[in-house]
Amino acid sequence: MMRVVSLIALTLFAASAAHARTADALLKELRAKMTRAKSYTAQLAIKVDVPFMRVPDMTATLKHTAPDKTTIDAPGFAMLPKEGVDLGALKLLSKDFTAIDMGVEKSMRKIKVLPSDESSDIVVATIWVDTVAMVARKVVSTTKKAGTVTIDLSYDDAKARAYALPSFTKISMEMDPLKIPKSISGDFDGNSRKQAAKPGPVKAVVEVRYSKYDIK
Amino acid sequence: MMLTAYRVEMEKVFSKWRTYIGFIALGALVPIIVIALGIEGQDYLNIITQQFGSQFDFKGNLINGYTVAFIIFAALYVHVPFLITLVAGEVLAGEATSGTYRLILTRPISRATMVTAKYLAVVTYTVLLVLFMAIMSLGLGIPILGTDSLLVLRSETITILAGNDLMWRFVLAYCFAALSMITVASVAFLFSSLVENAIGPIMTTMSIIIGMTIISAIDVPIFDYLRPLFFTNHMNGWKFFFDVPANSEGMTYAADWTRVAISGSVLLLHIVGCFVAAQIIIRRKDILT
Repeated sequence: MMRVVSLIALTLFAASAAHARTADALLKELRAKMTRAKSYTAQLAIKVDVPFMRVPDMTATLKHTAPDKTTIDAPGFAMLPKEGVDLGALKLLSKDFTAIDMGVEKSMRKIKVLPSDESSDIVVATIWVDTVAMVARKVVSTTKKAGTVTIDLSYDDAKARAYALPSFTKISMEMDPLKIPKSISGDFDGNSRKQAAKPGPVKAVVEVRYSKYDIK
Repeated sequence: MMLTAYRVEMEKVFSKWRTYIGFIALGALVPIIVIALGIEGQDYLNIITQQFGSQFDFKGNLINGYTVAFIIFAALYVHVPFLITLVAGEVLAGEATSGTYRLILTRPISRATMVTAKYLAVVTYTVLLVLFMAIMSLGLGIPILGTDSLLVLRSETITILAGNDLMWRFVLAYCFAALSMITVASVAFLFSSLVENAIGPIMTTMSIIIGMTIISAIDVPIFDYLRPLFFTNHMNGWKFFFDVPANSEGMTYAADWTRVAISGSVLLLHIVGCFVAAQIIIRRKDILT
């Protein structure tokens, strides 16, 4: 009983201590945790769910070398979101940024991040930081090219969690509807009026499972 | 008796210069297309990379042997019927034109046997032409450009099929293509039984195919009811083999089997109908030449 009370007290203390920290300090702490890994590799299992696309499940290998060199190799074809798979939004933290504290939401610190580098593709990102586990649970980034991308992160692998590396990410974004001319598709037998009646942007979801982490 | 008649008809078909036009045309076109797509095929995929390139990275060898074979399949599929009708439209009417109908029928074979032997010769030619297209496309494409996934672009969907899930689809698609081309051959064969000039069946069959294709392409509501009735619409059924990818839950041999079955049945009905009609017409025909 005493141990449980102590654990709860410790958790509450850690949470209040974390809240006491500034947003900037919190993100730097998160960055320090992430940069503890000089390099790592992981196997990716990727599932793409776009309403007008039928894509088989794919596999790839992620290789990261500090500070920000990330490559993804696939044995064959792979269709990968430009944002999210390589934790690009969190890579923001490896460069200069301005952090704005947005308060606490669902027991997580909500911090808005503005990159100092004007050439950065990410215009602004909001990061929900789990201050107990010291990991990012959710990232919403607004990019110049890909629009707004939402990334939900899970950390089931304890070893990877120690480096703030996720075991699962769910990347959501909006895509423009498909526009393929009949001269390309060769579908002269269809009824394109049905297609024209479809609404505007569609929601695309990409699920990535990270496994077999080799962290150095 | 049937085997002898079939052998004689095959010799007749393959002794004519026009029979080889199809093989020569495909033999010349396919290598050109393979090489051209190998050099500049990326432009074909730009339609995708331009639309979704800001959000997705596409990795892998997308201009590969399968992609090129698929593009050739889709492109030549419209034109191969003309090569088929050149032979199928001539096979019966040609006898009337050259005045050899009566000479053939002086031999101890029935009219039914003669028509069946000629029809089988036409079917053999058709299957060989499709087989030749398959061998040329895949046989050249894969060694030159390698293998990888296939990106299938349709008006409403994009389907990506893994490289190890493609060969069976191509085999069945070419089988379906053979069925489609046999339908064209059967229509031309039927018209060939009606007239005494080979040009007529060739032109009539092509006019029907072109007419049906144009009506199908015009997006007017009234044509929505007509399209399913056109055999040209069902000839595109080969594409249904490339509509459903296999997934990680162990679903293999995935395709739109219902639509394949419907289109295949419609084509088979046309084949049987045209063959039976040609048999009846020739049996009742007053042969004067």
